[in-house]
Amino acid sequence: MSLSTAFGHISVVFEKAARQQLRDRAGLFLTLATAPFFVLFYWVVFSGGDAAPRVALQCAHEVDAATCQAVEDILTDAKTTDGEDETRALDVITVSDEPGARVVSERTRSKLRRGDIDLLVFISGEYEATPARVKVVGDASSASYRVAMSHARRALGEDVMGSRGVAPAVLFEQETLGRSGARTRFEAYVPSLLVFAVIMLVFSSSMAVAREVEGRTFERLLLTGMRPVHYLAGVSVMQALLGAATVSLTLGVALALGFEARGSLALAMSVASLAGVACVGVGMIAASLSRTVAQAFLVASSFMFLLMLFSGLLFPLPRIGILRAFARDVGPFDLLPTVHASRAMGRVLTLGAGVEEILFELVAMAALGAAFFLVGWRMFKARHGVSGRLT
Amino acid sequence: MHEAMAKHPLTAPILTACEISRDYGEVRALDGVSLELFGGEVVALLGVNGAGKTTLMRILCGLDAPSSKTSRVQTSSLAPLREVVGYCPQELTIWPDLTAREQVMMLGRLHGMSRREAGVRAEHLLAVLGLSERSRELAATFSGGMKRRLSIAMALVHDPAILILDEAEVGLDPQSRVNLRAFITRLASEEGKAILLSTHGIDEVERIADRVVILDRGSVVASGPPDVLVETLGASAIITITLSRDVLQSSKGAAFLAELERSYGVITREDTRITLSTGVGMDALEEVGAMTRRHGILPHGLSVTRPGLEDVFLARTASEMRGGA
Repeated sequence: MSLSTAFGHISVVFEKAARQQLRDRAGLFLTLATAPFFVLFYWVVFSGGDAAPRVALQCAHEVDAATCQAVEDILTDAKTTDGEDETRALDVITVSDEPGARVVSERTRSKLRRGDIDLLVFISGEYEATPARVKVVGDASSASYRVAMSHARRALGEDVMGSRGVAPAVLFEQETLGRSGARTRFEAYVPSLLVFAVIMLVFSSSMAVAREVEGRTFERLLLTGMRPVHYLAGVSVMQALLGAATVSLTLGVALALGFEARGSLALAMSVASLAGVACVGVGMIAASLSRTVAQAFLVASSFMFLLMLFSGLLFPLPRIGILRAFARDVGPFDLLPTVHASRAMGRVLTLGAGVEEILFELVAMAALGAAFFLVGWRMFKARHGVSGRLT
Repeated sequence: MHEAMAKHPLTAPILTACEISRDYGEVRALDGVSLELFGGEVVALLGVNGAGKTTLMRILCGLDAPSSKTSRVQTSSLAPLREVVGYCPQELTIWPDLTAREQVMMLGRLHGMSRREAGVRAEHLLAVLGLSERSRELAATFSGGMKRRLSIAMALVHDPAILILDEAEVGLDPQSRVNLRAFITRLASEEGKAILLSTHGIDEVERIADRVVILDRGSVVASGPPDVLVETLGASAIITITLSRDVLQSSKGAAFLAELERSYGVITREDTRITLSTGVGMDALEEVGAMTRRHGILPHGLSVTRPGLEDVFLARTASEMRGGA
């Protein structure tokens, strides 16, 4: 079969898939609107908030109001820098419901456990002693606790040493990469939501193919001499374009709501597109394991959970290296395209990384996309191809 | 002589299938089926459910492969099956979210036509099949009959020499059936296409088929023109006698039935109607009449009918109920 015939088949399938997608208005709306909706939702929930950890200040009864106020001012004035911009490092609240308490109450501990606050700074009379003593309480496994602890230690240390005429032994000059020091909570979620937008392609691509198999219209296509790989390619191109449109919309909504990207938007779109192609590849594998749309939905759901749970989108991934390649440890999680997508997206949009800094992730996503498509194609051909002699 | 060859004595078969066998695990769906299809003839494939009709058709169009290495499906032009055969499956395999024109055109383009050629071909086929007026409407809005016609149009888009129709009359109203039969006949007689159709409708076969192939448990048990097949049953006739209940319950009635059974073997009784099975000659009508008089019986009815294709079908296929039948 000539290359032009193959391209002809792929273009016909693409045209058909595009028509069907455009006519399925409900499906199209859900696919395009889900991720932008989540962006809007996060903006509403976290609008105005920043990523500064929440610190509660509680002063014991022996601490006078002036000292307590001074400590509060020190913590509130702690800054973090983003280039020339400075933003506050801590979001300070005063625990006012237990004035003069001698110890940290169970009620305050409960707030810490619930995550309402990341760090409690308890000032007692020993703050005036030498060395000054400050009690801090928090969840040591929380990243926010560690950040808050670092800022509080630096700010209070410098103040105490300054007030006693002691020069600090070390003065740290902090420079945060990109917008990592200044991004709001809303902005912190945007890169993940862009990756979430392309994960949805696992559903749409697998169900589009399964619909053809279930309706037995796929056999009708095969009777023309079209090969399974042509069909999968045509559908994949359509799905990849759908993914690009979804990501564009999601990014557009985020930008309109005040998201500031540090790096190149074109590069971010490239990351999303490659991740989209890889997710379509996963969708092809899901389709090859399914005979009906309902089965495809179930299989795609399983794959989607894998892609979301072990991608670093929801929680930090442990570093598991099985082999060393390209000057880095490569582990089982590296088989998931969303791992690379979330890393690359975060680096581009938050840190302003360029192509060379995410090259590994780009190559990994391209390779995984090709591999998944090939595996999906072989499995699909074996399961849904014809055994007869059509050509 | 073969009927189709008689119609087209100088033509070779368009498609030859030799010794087709197909196994699904332990089940043998087809067992050494051979078949030739000639241009201009309508061949009907008869068989109970599970006889192997659909399996054979899927092999003939290239969707499935025989299990046996000695099996062979070959076209006279040595062209690929997809070019020679158009297949209209039993299920309505259409795209409900595409218009009739779009789907016929799409298949035409996949068969290698240009967009323009495919458009012209689609318009022609949809006109011939009476779908012109709704060619730009989504197939989801079509009736069952319209969907069936659209399915046939899709099978014909590449102008195949052979059209295979798997139970094409299922779900059609009487009017649509008549129109479909006329269309099939026209395709064979005017365009010289070979039509292979499977059906459960004996009357359909008697009306349009030039040749009948009866499949039973994966094997061809009878093949030939319908009238020739009927003649194979000989000068047999089916005699039906209707008696009153009083007569049947009387001693003379019992004696009459006993003599009938002694004379003609198997008889079937359904309420007050007694039928003498095939194998009984036309002369038997007079003998049965004489027998009734001898026993002093006046029947309510005494009739004789010649056997039809349905009788041939029933005689050639196993009469007992089978799983899947």
